[in-house]
Amino acid sequence: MFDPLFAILEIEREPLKLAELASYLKSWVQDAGGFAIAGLVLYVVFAFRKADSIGGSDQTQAKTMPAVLMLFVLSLAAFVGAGVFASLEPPTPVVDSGGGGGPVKKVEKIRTAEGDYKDYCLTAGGALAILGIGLPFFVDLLRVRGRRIMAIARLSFKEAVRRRILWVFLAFLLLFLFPSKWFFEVKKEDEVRQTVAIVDFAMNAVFLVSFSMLAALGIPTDLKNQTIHTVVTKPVQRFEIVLGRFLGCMGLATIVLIVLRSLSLVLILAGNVSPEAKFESFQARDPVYGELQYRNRRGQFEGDSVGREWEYRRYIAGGQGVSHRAVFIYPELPASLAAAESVPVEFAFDIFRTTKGEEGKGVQVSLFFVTPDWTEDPIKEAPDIKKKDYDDELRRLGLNPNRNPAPGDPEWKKWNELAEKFGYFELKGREIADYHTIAINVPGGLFKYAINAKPHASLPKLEVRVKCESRTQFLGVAKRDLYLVAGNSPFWWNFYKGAFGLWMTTCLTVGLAVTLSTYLTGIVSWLTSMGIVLLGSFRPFIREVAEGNVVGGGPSEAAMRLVTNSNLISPLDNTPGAQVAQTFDVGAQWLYRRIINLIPDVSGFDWSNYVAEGFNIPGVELLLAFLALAGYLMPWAVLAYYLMKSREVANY
Amino acid sequence: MAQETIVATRNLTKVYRDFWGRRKKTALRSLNLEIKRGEIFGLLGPNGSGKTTTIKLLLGLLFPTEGQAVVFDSPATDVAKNERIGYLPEESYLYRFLNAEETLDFYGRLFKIDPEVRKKRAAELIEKVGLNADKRRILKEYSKGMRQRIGLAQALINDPEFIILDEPTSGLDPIGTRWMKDLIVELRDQGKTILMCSHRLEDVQDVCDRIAILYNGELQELGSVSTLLQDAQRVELRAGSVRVSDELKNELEAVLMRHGGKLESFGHPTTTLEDLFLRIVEESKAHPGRRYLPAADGKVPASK
Repeated sequence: MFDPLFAILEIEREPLKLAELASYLKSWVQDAGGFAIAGLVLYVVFAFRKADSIGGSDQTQAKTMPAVLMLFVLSLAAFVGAGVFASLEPPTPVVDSGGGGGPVKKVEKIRTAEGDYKDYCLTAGGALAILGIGLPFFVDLLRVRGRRIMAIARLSFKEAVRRRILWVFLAFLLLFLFPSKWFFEVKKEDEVRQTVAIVDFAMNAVFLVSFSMLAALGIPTDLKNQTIHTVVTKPVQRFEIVLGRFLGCMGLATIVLIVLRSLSLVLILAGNVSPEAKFESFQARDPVYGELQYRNRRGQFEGDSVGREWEYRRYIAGGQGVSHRAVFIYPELPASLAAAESVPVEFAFDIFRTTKGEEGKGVQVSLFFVTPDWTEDPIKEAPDIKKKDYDDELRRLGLNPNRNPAPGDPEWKKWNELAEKFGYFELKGREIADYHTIAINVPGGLFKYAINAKPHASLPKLEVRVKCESRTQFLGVAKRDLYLVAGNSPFWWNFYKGAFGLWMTTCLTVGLAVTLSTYLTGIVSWLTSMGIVLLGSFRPFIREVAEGNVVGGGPSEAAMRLVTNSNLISPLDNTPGAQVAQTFDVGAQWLYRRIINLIPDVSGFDWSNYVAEGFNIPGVELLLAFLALAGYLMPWAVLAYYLMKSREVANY
Repeated sequence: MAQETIVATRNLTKVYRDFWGRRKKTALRSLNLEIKRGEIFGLLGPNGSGKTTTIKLLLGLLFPTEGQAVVFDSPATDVAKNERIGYLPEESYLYRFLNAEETLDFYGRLFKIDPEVRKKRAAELIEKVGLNADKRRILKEYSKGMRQRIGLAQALINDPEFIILDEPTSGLDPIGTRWMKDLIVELRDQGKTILMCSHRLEDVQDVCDRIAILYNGELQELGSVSTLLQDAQRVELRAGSVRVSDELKNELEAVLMRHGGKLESFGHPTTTLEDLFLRIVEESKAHPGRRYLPAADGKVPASK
């Protein structure tokens, strides 16, 4: 994070999409349902064991028991049904990646009727199990009163404020809020980016440690000091204590976050932001991304690999006669672009040089903005006749295709008319530097043409084709390396939106800490919640390990390779030891796949790079992340309800 | 008409177990008792006899291993009944970072009480427990007696019908103890039902209408204090305005002999140390700086 690259978002996984909300929900029901059925088994066993098992055999339990039992049986039947259909499903073919240690890649599953039925059964079983385990919870939730929750939240708030530990942490944090350029030399264009990255990192760390500690210590301290006796002997639902503790802690966290964020913003503004930094980061672009394809004469290809370990970007070869293109495809365009006089397009690519190239010259790229009426050829930028007409018109208007005009230029109107007439725009031989954002202006006429053009079923509204013109040079391109700028929002607003991600991470940690503290001691709860959140930071990697997609094999195989000093790619010798290690890894992967859903996706709440790179955080993403957070915390809340209700708050 | 039953326990048993479910101690065995509306009921017993366990079971802080505890016709684990209950724990387990006003405000908010009433009641209770001058100090700075007083105030914030007091005089000086006992009687006179447990026998004797004596988790005795303490084999006679003399003694012995009895003791009765202490304090308050001494003949002046 201290070595930012450029004002391009590097997102290795696709953000959540509103259109896929239903599939997210289904997936949640299936995952949470798995935990719910396990919880139901325990609930039923305990309920039948003894009167003093769950809340001393309370009225809610007595009233809901028949319904819970019915839901338990039904969900069990649905899960059994899923198991039956799974056994009838044809096995998924697997292909070895070649190298013995390489990941075993599954080919995409073929959809079958059995698979569909299994899916339905899993969803139905999950929903029934959630309903079953949640029924007593929801019934008791009706008895929860905001008045009491707020009283406990206020108490929690006062407790946190009057315990000086929080202020020690926050005083330490103040140091990190000042612009980084005040302390060490920073490139002008990086000054805002650097500061945002440091502020977010420090706030994240301090918030996680301090608020999770406050949350984890609340209930255990109450139990230890027996102050909880005077609370639960009032008409207080046990879950109200959990909610109150959570809300009190989060209330304080919210206030502190707003104050510190504002202070940080004031300090950034007071630091006289340089024009370079203003262009790079001190804005909130609304980018419109296309889908990326790599094409050559034979059609689509995967893009070249230049041997870099991080395969975020694939490469296209450069040269006049080379057919490699990186094509950004826009099936749809925002209607607002049709009204724009010009649309900024920004891009930054990675340059991989195989030779030094020409001295004093960077790498040149050409960009071709193509609408479907212009050409259907995937490589050739223009049919000869049309291109000739376009060039003739260009000459007639006296326009230079190698120079990118600005909207205020006298010839801009002509560019606009030309683009609108032909539905085509090109910028040739633009020199680029490695890891530097370039902004060009594309005439609004082109977008007017593209948006109003007759729809083609198989063709997108717009393609932006990128060609590297420099021979022996490779251009590294990823999906988010080029975008249309549909608008721009104020930096300060984006800065606060970025804080919402931090707020959600704090919410997650506090929620976990409060839940765990209903059963564990304060310190153990704190360490466990921190541990879960830290694991969440590595969730993508854990998932890869669970799915067997990590080069070098699972944990045992990797350890064996370390000990035997073998490389990651070559297959291990077929020794008994290697076989034991690989068998162990199969078991470990099975275990990881079971527990992966316990681990939160913490990276999904991190928008620090959006703010630091000057990209507007989409409101939809914030909303979906919030829903994901709620979906994750909901089962924990139910667990907290049962733990709190079933525990005796007094000791012998 | 029979008095309404506020508390009833039926075969109430509590076994403490360790993490693995192994039996650690049987704290209470098959307790059966009833507490009627408007009485002061005392739970008596040595340490570890099951008094506090009984209270915790009635409050839902612990769950019974066997049997039932019913309060206001609801199971003890039903929190709704707590709307009518006030509880003063043995130690005043209150939030020490709050002051007296904040404490009562916090506990008051847990009940369905109109904010105006809550504020008024909190002010009255602070006044009643004598903490008006210290209401803005955080409880951490309070003495044990002061904490016990604010503890009692929080137990009364909802104007409860049934008050549970666990060792209410613990940590109080004799003046505080007397004040507490007077208050308990006053609350009973207001129609409230009180359950108190204590191992200070004189406190229980002074205020309780009925008592239960527990030993080793089992109920040993249950009944009204006057009945349990009555010694049917002896007769006590007290008289005023009579000089102690041998003549009087002889005459009394003769009368008693005629009725088949025997004089066991004769002389001036002694007052209690508590009475003496309270009188000294009251006298000191009335006449600051004057030393309070027994009379010249070494006898203690009679109390008012």
